[in-house]
Amino acid sequence: MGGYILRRLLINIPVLFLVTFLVFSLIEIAPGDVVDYFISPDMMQYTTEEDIQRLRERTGLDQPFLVRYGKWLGRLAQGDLGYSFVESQRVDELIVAHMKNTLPLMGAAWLMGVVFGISLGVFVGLRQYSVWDFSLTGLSFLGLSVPAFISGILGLYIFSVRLGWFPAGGMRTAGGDSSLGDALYHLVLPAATLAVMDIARNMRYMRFAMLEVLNQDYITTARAKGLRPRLVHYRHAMRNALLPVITIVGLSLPQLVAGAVFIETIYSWRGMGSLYLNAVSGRDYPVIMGVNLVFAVMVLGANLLTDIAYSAVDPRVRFED
Amino acid sequence: MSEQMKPLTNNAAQVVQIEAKARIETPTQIAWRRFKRHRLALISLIVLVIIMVMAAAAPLFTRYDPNEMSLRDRALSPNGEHWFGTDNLGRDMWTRTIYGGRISLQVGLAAALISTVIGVILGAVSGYYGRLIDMVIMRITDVVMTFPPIIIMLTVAAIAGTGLTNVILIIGGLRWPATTRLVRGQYLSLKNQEFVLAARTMGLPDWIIIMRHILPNVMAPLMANVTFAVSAAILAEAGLSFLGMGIPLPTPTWGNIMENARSLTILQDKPWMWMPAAIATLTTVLCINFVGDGLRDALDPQQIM
Repeated sequence: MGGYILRRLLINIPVLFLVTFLVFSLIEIAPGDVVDYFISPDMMQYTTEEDIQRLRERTGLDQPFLVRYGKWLGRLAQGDLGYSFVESQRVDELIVAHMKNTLPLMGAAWLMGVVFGISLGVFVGLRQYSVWDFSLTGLSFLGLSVPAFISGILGLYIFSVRLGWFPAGGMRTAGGDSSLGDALYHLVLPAATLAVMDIARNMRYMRFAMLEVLNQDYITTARAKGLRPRLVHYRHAMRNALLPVITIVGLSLPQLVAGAVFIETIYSWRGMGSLYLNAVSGRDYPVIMGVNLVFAVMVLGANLLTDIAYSAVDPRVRFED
Repeated sequence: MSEQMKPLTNNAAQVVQIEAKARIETPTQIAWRRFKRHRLALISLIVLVIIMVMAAAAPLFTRYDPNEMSLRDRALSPNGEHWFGTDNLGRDMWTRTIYGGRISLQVGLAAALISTVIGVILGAVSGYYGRLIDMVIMRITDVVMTFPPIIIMLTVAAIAGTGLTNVILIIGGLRWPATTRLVRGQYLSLKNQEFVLAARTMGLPDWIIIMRHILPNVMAPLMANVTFAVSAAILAEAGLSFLGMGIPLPTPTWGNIMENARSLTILQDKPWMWMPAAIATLTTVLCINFVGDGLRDALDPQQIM
């Protein structure tokens, strides 16, 4: 087990290096001279070519690409992501502050996807070709085709504007109490609309896995020896059907992050998505780099955890290479 | 029933001929016959054709110009003159929706074509040659896939700029890893089969084996992948434009029409300004996905004819 984890970890190191290199080079080819960001606009007309050259030397921008990449990597290793061009704040502080809002949103959506997706999948998997199966599987196809910005808008329109069940965005009632209940009340609709795709996908995979497991010989054996159907379904079938679904659930993070960008925009949620979108429209390169790196590391981490979790529950994978 | 029982003619040679004609179907005919059995896929294909015709021949379906503003007709709700109402600048929403389909479908098809060409080339080379080149290509694929799709697209859009050509290039240039992995897997398993060995023994150059001998065998899973790539590209364009980082106004696309809904007053009181675009996007994507599903089943050689 230890050897397996170590091997998976080592595979990720070159990928992580390439990720940092890609992020750094992307910003390198961006139009515009970074040195201009160090000169305040009202001073621009008094700045001579020599001043700019001196500034370039002082900030180290005159050095070759690879030298700057190495220095940047060195600072990155110490957790230093630099300063935002726009917010005059450290990038890591900005990211931590916004991550605090994004994690509950993505976490809640992920949890809804796991709980509702898997239970619905088991439910219809045990009732193949029933009315339930046709309607829910059909709905899941719709759910898989709905992008987050449409599910977000429609959710906001139906459940907030028309029905008035939920607030129309924001993270808490303005001027109101900051209780946990109020926060949860604001969280339900954004998280649910973000979870639509996850629920649909997990349900489809769980249904398929159930159908496959139910055809196995050991299920027939369990039935033949007179085991109660409930035990056969939940102990024998569901536990084995969960195995392949672990991978799907673990690899859903990139989709969730992408969806969060839209959901946060629609529900005025001050999380990573809105931080990133502001950085993109303001060409705030240090923040763009920081957010890209954080997301990439999160995705790599999630992939690694999925591999480890899978190998922990299914020892067969550790022996093949 | 009885017609089938007794042959139309007693001439033996003619019977053989008729039977041969009846039995030999091209792979396309087989696929089409099996596709037609999928009722939902067939209906989706028809709806899709209607949407594509409306988009392609948009000027025939409206009297208005998509960008013509009429300040007297601002924010009208749907009526006999303006079927889908008008927006805050007095532009006809029905016209903007069908013209928007033009751009959205164009981006979807062009981006899917680009990503498929890149994906097939890289996947074929990677799977066929293996070793170092495979390792390099696969690591690059891993790196691109490490970034959540919309995040990396927004980053490149921020650097390279927006607009129709850039959006097509960005979406097409970043969606290939999925295709590469699929094609690579197929080449990995096919390259060890006898027909490839036979082609090699005949001394055929690698590129002919890759293109003429192996590629046709990859077409079945690839076709379904292409349809899903089209719907993914349509959604990516809509997403980018919705966030204001895609195709800039006044050119209408379904994405930047939906951007209207980011204003709460429009979302609340003027649903005609965003709902047609949302429904059009959803219908198109749903239909493409159903067609893709039908194609996958129809082209699956594992299935009994």
